[in-house]
Amino acid sequence: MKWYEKDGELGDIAVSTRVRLARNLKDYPFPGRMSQQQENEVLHSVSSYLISSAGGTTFRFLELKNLDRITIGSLVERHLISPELAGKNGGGVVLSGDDSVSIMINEEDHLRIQSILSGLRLGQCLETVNRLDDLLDGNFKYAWSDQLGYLTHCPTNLGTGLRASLMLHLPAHTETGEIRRLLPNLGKLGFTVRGLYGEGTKASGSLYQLSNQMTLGLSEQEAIERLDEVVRSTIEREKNLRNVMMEKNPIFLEDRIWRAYGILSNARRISSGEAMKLISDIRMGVSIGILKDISISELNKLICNIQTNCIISAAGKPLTDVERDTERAELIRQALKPTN
Amino acid sequence: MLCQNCGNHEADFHFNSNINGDITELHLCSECASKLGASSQYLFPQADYLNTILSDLLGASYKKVSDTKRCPLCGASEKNIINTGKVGCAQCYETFSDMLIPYIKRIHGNTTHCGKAPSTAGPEIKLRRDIERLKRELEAAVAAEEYENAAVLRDRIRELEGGLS
Repeated sequence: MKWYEKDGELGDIAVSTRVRLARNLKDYPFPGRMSQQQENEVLHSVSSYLISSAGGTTFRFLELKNLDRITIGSLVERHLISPELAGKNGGGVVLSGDDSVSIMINEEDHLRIQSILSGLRLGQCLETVNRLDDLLDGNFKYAWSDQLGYLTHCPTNLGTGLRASLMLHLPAHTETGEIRRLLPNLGKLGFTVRGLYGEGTKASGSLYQLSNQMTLGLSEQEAIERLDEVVRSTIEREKNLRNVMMEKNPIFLEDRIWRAYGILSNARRISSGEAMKLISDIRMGVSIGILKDISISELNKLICNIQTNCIISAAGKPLTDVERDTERAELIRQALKPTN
Repeated sequence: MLCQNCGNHEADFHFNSNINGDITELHLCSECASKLGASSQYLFPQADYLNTILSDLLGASYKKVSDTKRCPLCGASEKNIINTGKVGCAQCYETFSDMLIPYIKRIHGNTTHCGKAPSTAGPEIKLRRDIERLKRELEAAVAAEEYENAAVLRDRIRELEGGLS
């Protein structure tokens, strides 16, 4: 079972939690200045060490240069590798069986140790990345300074090298325009908000990534606690806004949710943009109790599986745009089909 | 977080761009954002534009850019670091500390790590960790009105702080 098929705390609004640590090896230049031979040494020494010493976890290693464009695209869509790593021939990724752990090698830093889980589970993600970090620390010498902490390619990650982020579903913030007020306020507190696939991407289906910005002068635990606090208050605010929308104009909201359900359970072809927008309506419908018999984990799975590269990858052959949109509609109809 | 341009005001505008894997982040106060031609409608401008501002920031905090000084481990020059906004290797942080430390302070508002340390970290780090831990215990003791215990903790903190350089 993949991580997104499991339920997590506050999972109707908190889609997923991700925590990553940036680490570099002391004896090598940072990835931007490595020779091909050095890239290979880092790639193979880290991946073979992880695979041989991971204890109970079964890891698999994927080398970017051996993957086709579609497979790479689907890894980005499932948040297992970053768009930055996708463009790097000398990179690779070590993944756990349920895809909840991904260790990117030769991304912007030598190592990006990531844990991703559904719902709001910052503590658990931090524990996982810490464990992997300790494991690697036992065998490799990290780039480190007593003053600046873990040394990173970009000075914005110095210190803990920790980036924690929450993917939040905020349709009521989007609908009411509150999101425009939220962004600068979160900025003042040292957090950033990004679109679905990270830096520079647009918010799709009212999904936003909220993450910490500061990495120096703040411990890992403090960073996580602050983010947890701000996430909980954002979720609370989202619930209040939904209540206001329901009170002010219940028929409008109900109509929108049922229409979304009507289209998605009957459409024969659908674009990714339209599907994401309508799934967002359905997710809100499930969350506020208008739609029954649809699970949030099913919707999480759908968000992953209907992305362009994931569809083509699952089909195992090239698809035309129409075939792809047809397949997407089919996947959605199957997912929404009543079970009894 | 403070504005990366003026370093005086809170940053209200946060820009992130990823163009073909070229990731840039920028944090500005509203005054500097409007001065530099950015606005809320202009959330994701071209990477070139951002790289220029980032490089300017790094360059502005260090006027004497030299192309001859090179990092002994990776060969990076000050110019390389300013142009890319990225550091060449771990050694660069020492080699170019005069240039980098003020820049790091502008980004993070701080230049001292607190948090996890690797097994190879120096003894001073361990000492600092112990002091931080005792300070937390002291706060808890004061809050619980355990003043005798608090006095013991306070003395121990002073003793350990004497060992810091």
